[in-house]
Amino acid sequence: MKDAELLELIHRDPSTGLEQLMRQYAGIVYAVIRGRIVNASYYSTDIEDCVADTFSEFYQELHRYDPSKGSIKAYLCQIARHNAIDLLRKNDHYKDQLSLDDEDGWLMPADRDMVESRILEDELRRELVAAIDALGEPDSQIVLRKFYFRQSSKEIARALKLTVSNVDTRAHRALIKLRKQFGGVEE
Amino acid sequence: MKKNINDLLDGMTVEELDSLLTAEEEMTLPKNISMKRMTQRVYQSIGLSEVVRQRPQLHLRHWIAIVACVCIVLAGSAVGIWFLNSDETGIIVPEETEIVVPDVDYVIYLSGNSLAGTDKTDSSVTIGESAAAGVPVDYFPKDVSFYPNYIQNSDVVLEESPLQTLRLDGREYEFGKHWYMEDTSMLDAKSPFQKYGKTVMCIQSGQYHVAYQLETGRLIDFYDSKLYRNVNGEFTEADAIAKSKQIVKEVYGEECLKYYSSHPCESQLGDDGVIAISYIKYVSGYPTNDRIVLHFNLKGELCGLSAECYGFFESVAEKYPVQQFKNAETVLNKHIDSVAVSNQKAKLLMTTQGKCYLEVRANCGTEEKVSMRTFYINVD
Repeated sequence: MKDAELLELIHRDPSTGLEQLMRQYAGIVYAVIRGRIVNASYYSTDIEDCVADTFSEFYQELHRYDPSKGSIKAYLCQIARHNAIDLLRKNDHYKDQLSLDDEDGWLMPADRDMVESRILEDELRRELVAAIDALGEPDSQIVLRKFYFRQSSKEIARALKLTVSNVDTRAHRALIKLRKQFGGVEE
Repeated sequence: MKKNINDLLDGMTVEELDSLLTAEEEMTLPKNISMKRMTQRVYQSIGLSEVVRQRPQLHLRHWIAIVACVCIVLAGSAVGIWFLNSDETGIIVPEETEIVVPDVDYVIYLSGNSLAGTDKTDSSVTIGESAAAGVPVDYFPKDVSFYPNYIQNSDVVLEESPLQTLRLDGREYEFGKHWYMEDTSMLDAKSPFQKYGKTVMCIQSGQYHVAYQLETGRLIDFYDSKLYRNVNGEFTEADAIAKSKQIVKEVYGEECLKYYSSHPCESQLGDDGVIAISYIKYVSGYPTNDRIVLHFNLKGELCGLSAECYGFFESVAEKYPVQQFKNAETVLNKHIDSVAVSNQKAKLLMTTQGKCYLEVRANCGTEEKVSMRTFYINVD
Protein backbone atom coordinates (compact mmCIF):
# COMPACT_ATOMS: atom_id res chain seq x y z
CA MET A 1 0.00 0.00 0.00
CA LYS A 2 1.30 3.43 -0.92
CA ASP A 3 2.02 6.02 1.71
CA ALA A 4 -0.90 8.25 0.82
CA GLU A 5 -3.32 5.35 1.00
CA LEU A 6 -1.79 4.19 4.23
CA LEU A 7 -2.13 7.61 5.81
CA GLU A 8 -5.70 7.88 4.69
CA LEU A 9 -6.44 4.48 6.19
CA ILE A 10 -4.78 5.38 9.47
CA HIS A 11 -6.85 8.53 9.73
CA ARG A 12 -10.04 6.78 8.78
CA ASP A 13 -9.60 3.61 10.75
CA PRO A 14 -6.61 3.78 13.07
CA SER A 15 -6.56 0.16 14.12
CA THR A 16 -6.76 -1.22 10.59
CA GLY A 17 -4.33 1.41 9.38
CA LEU A 18 -1.83 0.62 12.06
CA GLU A 19 -2.11 -3.07 11.39
CA GLN A 20 -1.36 -2.46 7.74
CA LEU A 21 1.48 -0.12 8.64
CA MET A 22 3.03 -2.74 10.86
CA ARG A 23 2.58 -5.49 8.32
CA GLN A 24 4.39 -3.35 5.81
CA TYR A 25 7.19 -1.92 7.89
CA ALA A 26 7.66 -4.00 11.02
CA GLY A 27 10.44 -5.89 9.29
CA ILE A 28 12.49 -2.85 8.42
CA VAL A 29 11.88 -1.26 11.80
CA TYR A 30 12.99 -4.46 13.44
CA ALA A 31 16.13 -4.48 11.27
CA VAL A 32 17.05 -0.94 12.31
CA ILE A 33 16.64 -1.73 15.97
CA ARG A 34 18.22 -5.15 15.92
CA GLY A 35 21.16 -3.77 13.97
CA ARG A 36 21.97 -1.35 16.73
CA ILE A 37 21.80 -3.77 19.58
CA VAL A 38 23.21 -6.72 17.71
CA ASN A 39 26.08 -7.28 20.11
CA ALA A 40 24.03 -6.99 23.22
CA SER A 41 21.94 -9.67 24.79
CA TYR A 42 18.30 -8.73 24.78
CA TYR A 43 15.15 -10.68 25.09
CA SER A 44 13.05 -10.76 21.99
CA THR A 45 10.33 -9.03 24.00
CA ASP A 46 12.64 -6.04 24.51
CA ILE A 47 12.96 -5.69 20.79
CA GLU A 48 9.27 -6.28 20.25
CA ASP A 49 8.52 -3.47 22.68
CA CYS A 50 10.98 -1.22 20.93
CA VAL A 51 9.43 -1.98 17.54
CA ALA A 52 5.93 -1.44 18.91
CA ASP A 53 6.95 1.83 20.53
CA THR A 54 8.23 3.01 17.18
CA PHE A 55 4.82 2.57 15.63
CA SER A 56 3.08 4.10 18.63
CA GLU A 57 5.34 7.10 18.41
CA PHE A 58 4.70 7.42 14.72
CA TYR A 59 0.96 7.41 15.31
CA GLN A 60 1.10 9.83 18.20
CA GLU A 61 3.31 12.22 16.27
CA LEU A 62 1.51 11.74 13.02
CA HIS A 63 0.71 15.43 12.79
CA ARG A 64 4.41 16.11 12.52
CA TYR A 65 4.95 13.80 9.64
CA ASP A 66 5.43 15.68 6.40
CA PRO A 67 5.08 13.36 3.41
CA SER A 68 6.92 15.86 1.22
CA LYS A 69 10.07 15.35 3.26
CA GLY A 70 10.30 11.63 3.05
CA SER A 71 8.54 8.34 3.02
CA ILE A 72 6.86 6.72 5.96
CA LYS A 73 9.48 4.02 5.77
CA ALA A 74 12.34 6.48 6.22
CA TYR A 75 10.49 8.29 8.96
CA LEU A 76 9.89 5.05 10.82
CA CYS A 77 13.55 4.14 10.46
CA GLN A 78 14.53 7.40 12.09
CA ILE A 79 12.20 6.83 15.00
CA ALA A 80 13.38 3.25 15.31
CA ARG A 81 17.02 4.33 15.45
CA HIS A 82 16.31 6.77 18.26
CA ASN A 83 14.34 4.15 20.14
CA ALA A 84 17.14 1.62 19.76
CA ILE A 85 19.62 4.10 21.17
CA ASP A 86 17.26 4.82 24.04
CA LEU A 87 17.00 1.10 24.71
CA LEU A 88 20.76 0.82 24.79
CA ARG A 89 21.06 3.76 27.11
CA LYS A 90 18.51 2.31 29.45
CA ASN A 91 20.44 -0.91 29.62
CA ASP A 92 23.81 0.75 29.91
CA HIS A 93 25.08 -0.90 26.78
CA TYR A 94 25.26 2.33 24.92
CA LYS A 95 28.95 2.96 25.20
CA ASP A 96 29.87 -0.56 24.23
CA GLN A 97 27.61 -0.54 21.26
CA LEU A 98 28.83 2.73 19.89
CA SER A 99 32.51 2.02 20.29
CA LEU A 100 34.37 2.93 17.18
CA ASP A 101 36.22 -0.31 16.79
CA ASP A 102 34.84 -1.49 13.54
CA GLU A 103 37.78 -1.08 11.24
CA ASP A 104 35.72 -1.90 8.20
CA GLY A 105 33.72 1.20 8.73
CA TRP A 106 36.35 3.87 9.00
CA LEU A 107 36.42 6.88 6.85
CA MET A 108 39.38 9.17 7.26
CA PRO A 109 38.42 12.72 6.42
CA ALA A 110 41.20 14.81 4.87
CA ASP A 111 40.63 17.66 7.23
CA ARG A 112 40.08 16.60 10.84
CA ASP A 113 38.68 19.97 11.80
CA MET A 114 36.04 19.56 9.21
CA VAL A 115 34.25 16.75 11.02
CA GLU A 116 34.48 18.52 14.32
CA SER A 117 32.11 21.06 13.02
CA ARG A 118 28.53 19.93 12.93
CA ILE A 119 27.81 21.89 9.83
CA LEU A 120 30.71 20.38 8.02
CA GLU A 121 29.76 16.97 9.28
CA ASP A 122 26.33 17.44 7.79
CA GLU A 123 27.99 18.37 4.55
CA LEU A 124 30.18 15.30 4.71
CA ARG A 125 27.19 13.12 5.35
CA ARG A 126 25.30 14.58 2.43
CA GLU A 127 28.25 13.90 0.20
CA LEU A 128 28.50 10.40 1.56
CA VAL A 129 24.85 9.73 0.88
CA ALA A 130 25.23 11.03 -2.64
CA ALA A 131 28.35 8.93 -3.12
CA ILE A 132 26.62 5.80 -1.88
CA ASP A 133 23.72 6.51 -4.18
CA ALA A 134 26.14 6.94 -7.04
CA LEU A 135 27.55 3.49 -6.43
CA GLY A 136 24.46 2.15 -8.08
CA GLU A 137 22.65 -1.09 -7.44
CA PRO A 138 23.34 -3.41 -5.81
CA ASP A 139 26.39 -1.79 -4.19
CA SER A 140 24.47 1.12 -2.73
CA GLN A 141 22.04 -1.33 -1.20
CA ILE A 142 24.84 -3.44 0.17
CA VAL A 143 26.46 -0.41 1.82
CA LEU A 144 23.15 0.79 3.21
CA ARG A 145 22.26 -2.59 4.57
CA LYS A 146 25.71 -3.18 5.97
CA PHE A 147 26.33 0.17 7.59
CA TYR A 148 22.87 1.51 8.30
CA PHE A 149 20.77 -1.58 8.88
CA ARG A 150 23.90 -3.41 10.01
CA GLN A 151 22.84 -6.64 8.48
CA SER A 152 25.28 -9.47 8.15
CA SER A 153 26.65 -10.43 4.79
CA LYS A 154 24.54 -13.54 4.96
CA GLU A 155 21.37 -11.56 5.50
CA ILE A 156 22.26 -9.17 2.72
CA ALA A 157 23.08 -11.99 0.37
CA ARG A 158 19.75 -13.62 1.06
CA ALA A 159 17.84 -10.39 0.56
CA LEU A 160 19.63 -9.38 -2.63
CA LYS A 161 19.96 -12.91 -3.95
CA LEU A 162 23.72 -12.78 -4.10
CA THR A 163 26.35 -15.06 -2.66
CA VAL A 164 27.93 -14.15 0.63
CA SER A 165 31.36 -13.82 -0.93
CA ASN A 166 29.95 -11.58 -3.63
CA VAL A 167 28.44 -9.33 -1.00
CA ASP A 168 31.71 -9.14 0.89
CA THR A 169 33.69 -8.38 -2.25
CA ARG A 170 31.28 -5.70 -3.39
CA ALA A 171 31.17 -4.15 0.05
CA HIS A 172 34.95 -4.04 0.26
CA ARG A 173 35.30 -2.44 -3.16
CA ALA A 174 32.57 0.07 -2.42
CA LEU A 175 34.25 1.07 0.78
CA ILE A 176 37.58 1.58 -0.95
CA LYS A 177 35.87 3.73 -3.52
CA LEU A 178 34.26 5.84 -0.84
CA ARG A 179 37.52 6.20 1.05
CA LYS A 180 39.26 7.45 -2.02
CA GLN A 181 36.47 9.85 -2.75
CA PHE A 182 36.57 11.32 0.73
CA GLY A 183 40.33 11.51 0.94
CA GLY A 184 40.58 8.81 3.54
CA VAL A 185 43.65 6.72 4.08
CA GLU A 186 43.60 3.40 2.38
CA GLU A 187 44.50 0.38 4.36
CA MET B 1 39.81 12.22 14.16
CA LYS B 2 38.25 9.30 12.46
CA LYS B 3 34.60 9.24 11.62
CA ASN B 4 32.70 6.02 11.38
CA ILE B 5 30.52 5.49 8.34
CA ASN B 6 27.94 3.94 10.63
CA ASP B 7 27.76 7.12 12.65
CA LEU B 8 27.56 9.26 9.57
CA LEU B 9 24.75 7.18 8.15
CA ASP B 10 23.04 7.17 11.50
CA GLY B 11 22.85 10.93 11.28
CA MET B 12 20.99 10.85 8.00
CA THR B 13 17.93 12.97 7.74
CA VAL B 14 14.69 11.44 6.58
CA GLU B 15 15.22 12.94 3.14
CA GLU B 16 18.72 11.53 2.87
CA LEU B 17 17.66 8.12 4.07
CA ASP B 18 14.80 8.18 1.65
CA SER B 19 17.15 8.83 -1.22
CA LEU B 20 18.92 5.57 -0.46
CA LEU B 21 15.93 3.46 0.36
CA THR B 22 14.28 1.56 -2.39
CA ALA B 23 11.09 -0.37 -2.61
CA GLU B 24 13.08 -3.54 -2.20
CA GLU B 25 13.83 -3.17 1.49
CA GLU B 26 11.02 -5.44 2.40
CA MET B 27 12.41 -7.13 5.46
CA THR B 28 10.68 -9.89 7.27
CA LEU B 29 10.38 -10.44 10.97
CA PRO B 30 12.10 -13.44 12.48
CA LYS B 31 9.82 -16.12 13.79
CA ASN B 32 10.59 -15.41 17.42
CA ILE B 33 9.11 -11.92 17.11
CA SER B 34 5.40 -11.77 17.79
CA MET B 35 3.49 -9.38 15.58
CA LYS B 36 0.38 -9.91 17.67
CA ARG B 37 2.10 -8.88 20.84
CA MET B 38 3.56 -5.81 19.20
CA THR B 39 0.20 -4.82 17.81
CA GLN B 40 -1.39 -5.16 21.22
CA ARG B 41 1.31 -3.00 22.72
CA VAL B 42 0.76 -0.35 20.08
CA TYR B 43 -2.97 -0.32 20.71
CA GLN B 44 -2.42 -0.18 24.42
CA SER B 45 0.03 2.68 24.27
CA ILE B 46 -2.07 4.84 21.98
CA GLY B 47 -5.26 4.01 23.82
CA LEU B 48 -7.12 2.49 20.92
CA SER B 49 -8.62 -0.19 23.06
CA GLU B 50 -8.62 1.96 26.14
CA VAL B 51 -12.20 3.01 25.82
CA VAL B 52 -13.42 -0.53 25.69
CA ARG B 53 -11.72 -1.34 28.94
CA GLN B 54 -12.93 1.83 30.59
CA ARG B 55 -16.02 0.42 32.13
CA PRO B 56 -16.80 2.53 35.11
CA GLN B 57 -15.69 0.74 38.18
CA LEU B 58 -17.16 1.00 41.57
CA HIS B 59 -14.60 2.10 44.03
CA LEU B 60 -14.83 1.50 47.71
CA ARG B 61 -16.24 4.93 48.37
CA HIS B 62 -18.95 4.28 45.83
CA TRP B 63 -19.92 1.04 47.48
CA ILE B 64 -20.00 2.70 50.86
CA ALA B 65 -22.14 5.47 49.45
CA ILE B 66 -24.42 2.99 47.69
CA VAL B 67 -24.97 0.98 50.83
CA ALA B 68 -25.62 4.15 52.75
CA CYS B 69 -28.00 5.33 50.08
CA VAL B 70 -29.94 2.10 50.04
CA CYS B 71 -30.45 2.46 53.76
CA ILE B 72 -31.54 6.04 53.30
CA VAL B 73 -33.90 5.07 50.53
CA LEU B 74 -35.43 2.32 52.60
CA ALA B 75 -36.21 4.89 55.20
CA GLY B 76 -37.05 7.55 52.67
CA SER B 77 -39.34 5.32 50.68
CA ALA B 78 -41.54 4.83 53.66
CA VAL B 79 -41.91 8.58 53.88
CA GLY B 80 -42.32 8.74 50.14
CA ILE B 81 -45.08 6.20 50.12
CA TRP B 82 -46.85 8.11 52.79
CA PHE B 83 -46.29 11.30 50.87
CA LEU B 84 -47.49 9.90 47.57
CA ASN B 85 -50.57 8.45 49.20
CA SER B 86 -51.44 11.65 50.91
CA ASP B 87 -54.64 13.23 49.80
CA GLU B 88 -53.02 16.64 50.23
CA THR B 89 -50.93 16.09 47.15
CA GLY B 90 -53.90 15.47 44.95
CA ILE B 91 -52.06 12.55 43.49
CA ILE B 92 -54.12 9.49 42.80
CA VAL B 93 -52.23 6.43 43.83
CA PRO B 94 -53.78 3.02 43.38
CA GLU B 95 -53.91 1.24 46.67
CA GLU B 96 -52.00 -1.74 45.45
CA THR B 97 -49.21 0.40 44.14
CA GLU B 98 -46.12 0.88 46.14
CA ILE B 99 -42.69 2.06 45.33
CA VAL B 100 -40.26 -0.77 45.37
CA VAL B 101 -36.76 0.27 46.08
CA PRO B 102 -34.70 -1.88 43.82
CA ASP B 103 -31.10 -2.84 43.92
CA VAL B 104 -28.91 -0.07 42.73
CA ASP B 105 -28.97 -0.70 39.07
CA TYR B 106 -28.21 2.70 37.76
CA VAL B 107 -25.11 4.55 38.67
CA ILE B 108 -24.15 7.86 37.26
CA TYR B 109 -20.65 9.09 37.49
CA LEU B 110 -19.91 12.72 37.23
CA SER B 111 -16.25 13.42 37.28
CA GLY B 112 -14.03 15.86 35.57
CA ASN B 113 -15.90 17.10 32.59
CA SER B 114 -17.43 13.84 31.59
CA LEU B 115 -20.60 12.05 32.31
CA ALA B 116 -20.82 8.32 32.10
CA GLY B 117 -23.27 5.81 33.28
CA THR B 118 -24.06 2.18 33.50
CA ASP B 119 -27.45 0.65 33.39
CA LYS B 120 -28.08 -3.03 33.49
CA THR B 121 -31.65 -2.73 32.43
CA ASP B 122 -31.39 -0.64 29.32
CA SER B 123 -28.77 1.00 27.21
CA SER B 124 -29.86 4.58 27.28
CA VAL B 125 -26.71 5.86 28.76
CA THR B 126 -24.92 8.87 27.49
CA ILE B 127 -21.51 10.23 27.93
CA GLY B 128 -20.63 13.79 27.44
CA GLU B 129 -17.80 16.19 27.45
CA SER B 130 -20.05 18.96 28.39
CA ALA B 131 -21.39 21.19 30.98
CA ALA B 132 -22.56 18.11 32.81
CA ALA B 133 -20.06 18.47 35.59
CA GLY B 134 -20.40 22.12 36.19
CA VAL B 135 -18.25 23.51 33.43
CA PRO B 136 -19.69 26.79 32.21
CA VAL B 137 -21.67 26.41 29.04
CA ASP B 138 -19.90 29.42 27.61
CA TYR B 139 -16.70 27.49 27.82
CA PHE B 140 -17.84 25.37 24.94
CA PRO B 141 -17.48 27.03 21.56
CA LYS B 142 -20.56 27.30 19.49
CA ASP B 143 -18.63 26.84 16.29
CA VAL B 144 -19.20 23.27 15.30
CA SER B 145 -15.73 23.06 13.81
CA PHE B 146 -14.51 22.81 17.38
CA TYR B 147 -15.99 19.38 17.52
CA PRO B 148 -14.17 17.56 14.79
CA ASN B 149 -14.81 14.16 16.24
CA TYR B 150 -18.47 14.69 15.97
CA ILE B 151 -18.92 16.97 13.05
CA GLN B 152 -16.21 16.88 10.50
CA ASN B 153 -15.60 13.21 10.43
CA SER B 154 -18.74 11.60 9.23
CA ASP B 155 -16.97 8.46 8.29
CA VAL B 156 -18.19 6.02 10.87
CA VAL B 157 -17.26 2.42 11.07
CA LEU B 158 -19.59 0.17 12.96
CA GLU B 159 -17.96 -3.11 13.67
CA GLU B 160 -20.01 -6.23 13.52
CA SER B 161 -18.81 -7.39 16.86
CA PRO B 162 -20.75 -8.10 20.02
CA LEU B 163 -19.51 -4.86 21.49
CA GLN B 164 -20.55 -2.91 18.45
CA THR B 165 -17.69 -0.58 18.83
CA LEU B 166 -18.04 2.66 17.03
CA ARG B 167 -14.96 4.37 15.80
CA LEU B 168 -14.89 8.04 15.15
CA ASP B 169 -11.73 9.83 14.26
CA GLY B 170 -9.49 7.52 16.17
CA ARG B 171 -11.65 7.18 19.22
CA GLU B 172 -13.76 4.23 20.12
CA TYR B 173 -17.25 4.37 21.47
CA GLU B 174 -19.03 1.42 22.91
CA PHE B 175 -22.65 0.68 22.33
CA GLY B 176 -24.76 1.21 25.37
CA LYS B 177 -22.04 3.13 27.04
CA HIS B 178 -21.15 5.91 24.72
CA TRP B 179 -23.84 5.76 22.16
CA TYR B 180 -27.28 4.43 21.70
CA MET B 181 -30.01 3.96 19.23
CA GLU B 182 -32.92 6.24 18.79
CA ASP B 183 -36.06 5.43 16.95
CA THR B 184 -37.27 7.87 14.37
CA SER B 185 -40.81 7.70 15.62
CA MET B 186 -39.73 9.65 18.67
CA LEU B 187 -38.25 12.46 16.68
CA ASP B 188 -39.38 15.64 15.10
CA ALA B 189 -41.29 15.08 11.91
CA LYS B 190 -39.44 17.95 10.35
CA SER B 191 -36.05 16.58 11.21
CA PRO B 192 -33.83 14.93 8.69
CA PHE B 193 -34.21 11.67 10.54
CA GLN B 194 -37.39 11.02 8.69
CA LYS B 195 -35.56 10.95 5.44
CA TYR B 196 -33.34 8.14 6.48
CA GLY B 197 -33.58 4.72 7.96
CA LYS B 198 -35.51 3.63 10.95
CA THR B 199 -32.74 3.90 13.40
CA VAL B 200 -29.99 6.33 13.88
CA MET B 201 -27.33 6.28 16.45
CA CYS B 202 -27.05 9.28 18.61
CA ILE B 203 -24.22 10.65 20.59
CA GLN B 204 -25.33 12.96 23.29
CA SER B 205 -22.71 15.37 24.39
CA GLY B 206 -24.22 17.80 26.78
CA GLN B 207 -25.95 20.42 24.78
CA TYR B 208 -24.88 18.81 21.55
CA HIS B 209 -26.68 15.97 20.00
CA VAL B 210 -25.21 14.18 17.05
CA ALA B 211 -26.80 11.51 14.98
CA TYR B 212 -25.46 9.29 12.30
CA GLN B 213 -27.36 7.19 9.85
CA LEU B 214 -26.72 3.70 11.02
CA GLU B 215 -26.58 2.03 7.65
CA THR B 216 -24.00 4.32 6.13
CA GLY B 217 -22.42 6.09 9.05
CA ARG B 218 -23.27 9.37 7.44
CA LEU B 219 -23.72 12.36 9.70
CA ILE B 220 -27.34 13.31 9.33
CA ASP B 221 -28.09 15.56 12.21
CA PHE B 222 -26.50 17.76 14.70
CA TYR B 223 -28.08 20.19 16.98
CA ASP B 224 -27.18 22.43 19.75
CA SER B 225 -29.88 22.18 22.33
CA LYS B 226 -29.52 25.86 22.98
CA LEU B 227 -30.41 26.86 19.49
CA TYR B 228 -33.83 28.17 18.81
CA ARG B 229 -36.17 26.71 16.34
CA ASN B 230 -39.08 28.82 15.34
CA VAL B 231 -42.50 27.45 15.76
CA ASN B 232 -45.79 28.65 14.44
CA GLY B 233 -48.99 28.28 16.28
CA GLU B 234 -51.46 29.88 18.57
CA PHE B 235 -49.10 29.59 21.43
CA THR B 236 -45.81 31.20 20.59
CA GLU B 237 -42.38 30.69 21.99
CA ALA B 238 -42.60 33.98 23.81
CA ASP B 239 -45.82 32.84 25.40
CA ALA B 240 -44.25 29.56 26.40
CA ILE B 241 -41.24 31.24 27.90
CA ALA B 242 -43.33 33.68 29.86
CA LYS B 243 -45.51 30.91 31.13
CA SER B 244 -42.51 28.76 31.96
CA LYS B 245 -41.05 31.52 34.07
CA GLN B 246 -44.30 31.89 35.89
CA ILE B 247 -44.64 28.18 36.55
CA VAL B 248 -41.04 27.72 37.54
CA LYS B 249 -41.38 30.52 40.03
CA GLU B 250 -44.56 29.00 41.32
CA VAL B 251 -42.91 25.61 41.69
CA TYR B 252 -39.60 26.66 43.10
CA GLY B 253 -40.58 29.78 44.89
CA GLU B 254 -38.09 31.93 43.07
CA GLU B 255 -37.13 33.03 39.62
CA CYS B 256 -34.65 30.51 38.42
CA LEU B 257 -35.32 30.18 34.75
CA LYS B 258 -31.91 31.17 33.54
CA TYR B 259 -31.95 29.59 30.18
CA TYR B 260 -34.48 28.15 27.91
CA SER B 261 -34.84 26.75 24.51
CA SER B 262 -37.85 25.67 22.67
CA HIS B 263 -38.56 23.49 19.79
CA PRO B 264 -41.57 21.82 18.36
CA CYS B 265 -41.59 18.20 19.19
CA GLU B 266 -43.72 15.19 18.77
CA SER B 267 -44.33 14.32 22.33
CA GLN B 268 -45.70 11.23 23.90
CA LEU B 269 -48.91 13.10 24.40
CA GLY B 270 -49.73 13.09 20.75
CA ASP B 271 -48.97 14.57 17.40
CA ASP B 272 -50.84 17.76 17.91
CA GLY B 273 -47.80 19.99 18.10
CA VAL B 274 -46.32 20.44 21.49
CA ILE B 275 -43.90 23.13 22.43
CA ALA B 276 -41.35 21.99 24.91
CA ILE B 277 -39.59 24.56 26.98
CA SER B 278 -36.50 23.55 28.81
CA TYR B 279 -34.17 25.36 31.04
CA ILE B 280 -30.97 24.73 32.84
CA LYS B 281 -30.64 25.42 36.47
CA TYR B 282 -27.60 27.05 37.86
CA VAL B 283 -25.58 26.26 40.90
CA SER B 284 -23.25 28.95 42.07
CA GLY B 285 -23.41 30.50 38.68
CA TYR B 286 -22.52 27.38 36.83
CA PRO B 287 -24.94 25.35 34.84
CA THR B 288 -25.35 21.79 35.93
CA ASN B 289 -27.00 20.78 32.71
CA ASP B 290 -29.98 19.80 34.74
CA ARG B 291 -33.00 20.48 32.71
CA ILE B 292 -36.64 20.64 33.38
CA VAL B 293 -38.83 20.36 30.37
CA LEU B 294 -42.21 21.92 30.37
CA HIS B 295 -44.48 20.79 27.60
CA PHE B 296 -47.16 23.06 26.33
CA ASN B 297 -49.53 22.42 23.55
CA LEU B 298 -50.30 25.08 21.02
CA LYS B 299 -53.20 26.26 23.11
CA GLY B 300 -50.86 27.14 25.90
CA GLU B 301 -51.87 24.33 28.17
CA LEU B 302 -49.20 22.76 30.26
CA CYS B 303 -49.32 19.12 29.37
CA GLY B 304 -46.11 17.86 30.83
CA LEU B 305 -43.36 18.59 33.24
CA SER B 306 -40.41 16.33 33.43
CA ALA B 307 -36.86 16.29 34.51
CA GLU B 308 -34.01 15.50 32.22
CA CYS B 309 -30.44 14.85 33.10
CA TYR B 310 -29.29 14.31 36.59
CA GLY B 311 -28.79 16.27 39.68
CA PHE B 312 -32.27 17.57 39.14
CA PHE B 313 -32.77 18.75 42.65
CA GLU B 314 -29.29 19.80 43.49
CA SER B 315 -29.68 23.53 43.41
CA VAL B 316 -32.86 25.22 44.35
CA ALA B 317 -34.35 22.00 45.55
CA GLU B 318 -31.87 21.82 48.36
CA LYS B 319 -33.78 24.64 49.94
CA TYR B 320 -37.09 22.94 49.33
CA PRO B 321 -36.36 19.25 49.31
CA VAL B 322 -39.91 18.11 49.82
CA GLN B 323 -42.01 21.13 49.24
CA GLN B 324 -40.74 21.84 45.78
CA PHE B 325 -41.66 18.39 44.59
CA LYS B 326 -45.02 18.75 46.17
CA ASN B 327 -45.46 22.11 44.51
CA ALA B 328 -44.45 20.69 41.19
CA GLU B 329 -46.95 17.93 41.47
CA THR B 330 -49.62 20.36 42.52
CA VAL B 331 -48.94 22.63 39.59
CA LEU B 332 -48.84 19.72 37.25
CA ASN B 333 -52.02 18.40 38.68
CA LYS B 334 -53.81 21.60 37.85
CA HIS B 335 -53.26 20.92 34.21
CA ILE B 336 -53.34 17.19 34.04
CA ASP B 337 -56.29 15.08 34.93
CA SER B 338 -54.37 12.47 36.82
CA VAL B 339 -50.93 11.61 37.90
CA ALA B 340 -50.46 8.15 39.14
CA VAL B 341 -47.58 6.03 40.08
CA SER B 342 -48.57 3.18 37.88
CA ASN B 343 -45.76 0.80 38.15
CA GLN B 344 -43.50 -0.52 40.77
CA LYS B 345 -40.30 0.51 39.19
CA ALA B 346 -38.08 2.92 40.88
CA LYS B 347 -34.42 3.45 40.52
CA LEU B 348 -31.86 4.84 42.76
CA LEU B 349 -29.50 7.20 41.12
CA MET B 350 -26.31 8.29 42.67
CA THR B 351 -23.71 10.77 41.61
CA THR B 352 -20.11 10.69 42.63
CA GLN B 353 -20.88 13.65 44.78
CA GLY B 354 -22.99 11.28 46.81
CA LYS B 355 -26.29 12.79 45.80
CA CYS B 356 -29.01 10.22 45.63
CA TYR B 357 -32.25 10.38 43.77
CA LEU B 358 -35.09 8.02 43.50
CA GLU B 359 -36.34 7.84 39.97
CA VAL B 360 -40.01 7.08 39.71
CA ARG B 361 -41.74 6.59 36.45
CA ALA B 362 -45.33 7.58 36.50
CA ASN B 363 -48.19 7.79 34.07
CA CYS B 364 -49.50 11.25 33.50
CA GLY B 365 -52.73 11.61 31.69
CA THR B 366 -54.79 14.33 30.20
CA GLU B 367 -58.22 13.28 29.01
CA GLU B 368 -57.61 10.07 27.14
CA LYS B 369 -54.01 10.67 26.43
CA VAL B 370 -51.59 9.12 28.82
CA SER B 371 -47.88 9.38 28.86
CA MET B 372 -45.16 8.08 31.04
CA ARG B 373 -43.28 10.67 33.01
CA THR B 374 -40.23 10.35 35.12
CA PHE B 375 -39.81 12.06 38.42
CA TYR B 376 -36.75 12.30 40.53
CA ILE B 377 -37.05 12.44 44.26
CA ASN B 378 -34.18 13.68 46.30
CA VAL B 379 -33.69 11.07 48.97
CA ASP B 380 -30.81 12.75 50.76
